[in-house]
Amino acid sequence: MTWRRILHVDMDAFFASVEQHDHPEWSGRPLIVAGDPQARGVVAAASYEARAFGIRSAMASAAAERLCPHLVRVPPRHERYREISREIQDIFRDYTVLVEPISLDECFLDLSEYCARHRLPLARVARGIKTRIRQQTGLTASAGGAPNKFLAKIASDLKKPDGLVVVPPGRAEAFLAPLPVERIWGVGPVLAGRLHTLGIRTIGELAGKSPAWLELTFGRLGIEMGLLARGVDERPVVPWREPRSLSAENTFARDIQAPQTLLEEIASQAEEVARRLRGHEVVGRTVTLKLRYGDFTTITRSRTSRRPIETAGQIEALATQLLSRTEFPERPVRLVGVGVSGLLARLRPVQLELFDHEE
Amino acid sequence: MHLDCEKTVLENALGQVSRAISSRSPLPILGHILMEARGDELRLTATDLNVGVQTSIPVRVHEEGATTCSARLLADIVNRLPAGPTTLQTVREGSLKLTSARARFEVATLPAEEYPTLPVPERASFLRLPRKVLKAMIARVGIAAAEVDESRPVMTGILTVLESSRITLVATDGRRLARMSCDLEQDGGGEARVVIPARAMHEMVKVFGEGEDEVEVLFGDSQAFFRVPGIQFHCRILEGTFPDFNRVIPQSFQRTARMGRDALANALRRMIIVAQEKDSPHLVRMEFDPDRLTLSANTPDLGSAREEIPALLDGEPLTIAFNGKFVLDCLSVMDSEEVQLDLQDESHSAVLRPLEDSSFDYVCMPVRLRELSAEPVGAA
Repeated sequence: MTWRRILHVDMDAFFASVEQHDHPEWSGRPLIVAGDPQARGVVAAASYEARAFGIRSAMASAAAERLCPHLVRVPPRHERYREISREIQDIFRDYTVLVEPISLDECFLDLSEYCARHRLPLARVARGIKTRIRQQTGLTASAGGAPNKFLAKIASDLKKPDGLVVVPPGRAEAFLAPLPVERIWGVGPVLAGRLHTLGIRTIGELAGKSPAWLELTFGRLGIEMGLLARGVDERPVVPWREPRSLSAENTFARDIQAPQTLLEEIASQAEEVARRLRGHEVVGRTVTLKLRYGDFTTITRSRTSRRPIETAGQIEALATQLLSRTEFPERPVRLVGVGVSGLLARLRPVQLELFDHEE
Repeated sequence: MHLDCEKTVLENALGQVSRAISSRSPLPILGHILMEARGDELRLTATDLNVGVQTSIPVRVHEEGATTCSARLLADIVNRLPAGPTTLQTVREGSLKLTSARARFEVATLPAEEYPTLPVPERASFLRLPRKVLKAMIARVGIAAAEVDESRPVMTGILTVLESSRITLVATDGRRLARMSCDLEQDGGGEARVVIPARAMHEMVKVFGEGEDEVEVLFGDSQAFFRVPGIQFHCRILEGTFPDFNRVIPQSFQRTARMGRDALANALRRMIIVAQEKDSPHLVRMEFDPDRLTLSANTPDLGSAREEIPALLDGEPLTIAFNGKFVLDCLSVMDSEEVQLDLQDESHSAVLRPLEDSSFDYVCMPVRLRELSAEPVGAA
């Protein structure tokens, strides 16, 4: 049986570290990335210096400022974090296409093939990846390596910051046994309470229960908990990549010379692309029109707008303007495509609240 | 029970008490009206256990007694009877006979003993205020209460604060807050702080209707009672801590804008048509300049709108965005010709009020349009 080599990489205090890296004057200082305390902001990330004061994520900004009066508070710059996150994912993709981002600062990688091809142990590859992240971005990451996602995720959390823990195949049960049951995915305070009353406090104690007993007590969930407790997790790493551009195209049954037909097709493709922009919650900066003439020569014409492009109307207008920079309708067209690139996250308006919520 | 009454009087009373009947009642008896004939009165009672209404009407009692029958059935019948004298009489076990002119009905009843006991006020009334004033306060403040809030049920209520001779009503759904105060003619003689479901308050206003007289108000331990001559309305008091509202009513502003109420309301109604973004409903941008306010709204793939209205701004120009519906809700319950909007900046609360009237405040949180740039805050 071959073991998978799964790596879970978790950036250390990601948003806070990016801010400290971009603003060296803040490094070494307690810092939070958080919304305005007046407007019920909460802590999105806290630097390790701030954590020393007891400040944690999801705490109300106002509460954090009470804990540490010299706190540096920075409003979040999600676009910047996304940019760094893309850079880090590009490093991962040098090793494998099986990259599954969980959030901007967390990723699963399946390195089985890379390790086999280069005959390298997972720990060496993991160290190499950590070094490249630090050299390229100046940030540190904690990584966990294991034969599956569940173990890898737990392992990455054990030595933070800048840690690396690898669980070799065969050591899974021993590795898990002393950990509290709360470490298992899906075991929240309520379920943990039920397990405690049954005398089950560690993952080892849970692993000792028979699958039949677990199913009887907790149903389907019990079976899943039991498998995880014994270090069994078959879920694959599912690659996902943020699109760099979104487009639609269509080849006509016969070459087109009538402007009306082409304009209608452009309008309908603009609708399609706008719908997909919304689906991905992004806006673009550049519209590209692609034409293939009857003789198969293919041309593209692009235009970049100062304003974010998000609506079908905008896309259609720009694509139609681009048509004047082609040889249509003198040369008939067999294919037309409309695309939008330069994608950015759509900034969503936020209704502010009057009261701080208790956290 | 056997009595004669006037059809229109009975019809009117049934309309009042039926407001307390819930269409989704789990108990059949709660779909019934309790009728009690005593002395020269017929007392009608209805409740859904959250609110209750009791109305007394003058009748000629031949035989005292009590029974219950379906509120809807009784109202449907009485509404269609011809005007004139109507007779109600319990005839045999489980049946009520209604007679009017030549029409005769027999309807099923349930025994009065099965009807739930209604709460009784533990004390005498301790506050009186004109019906019109209470109605106006509820109409204005009630707009800010949450319709539903499963995690904070208290937000669906109106906080009533009584301090010696001043009564204040406050409601908030967490994004906007309305507060209105009124000085009482006589000292209320006590202090109280209770939260009453806004929905019940609105029902009460409808049950009481118009009138020049005063409403007697009484707060028990778990129920609030309101009385006008002939009608008593009671409802459950909400438990839970009402948020500390004084803290969120700003005391100082960088800017003040004045404009016509109708001009602003009509422009907002037009903007809202194209402000249909699902994530941020009714999002309307407001750009304040020294002599005008420019409103705009848009929804990708739907359309956009823009309108200027005259406004006077005291302070630096500002662009701020609101849920236009929140602003409109407030304008709709005001009656002054001009309104004043006190502003801090684009991410802090604004206060809308009738011009030069400090008895009513409407605090509204804006919608933040975009992320802020990274600038240190609180760092030396």
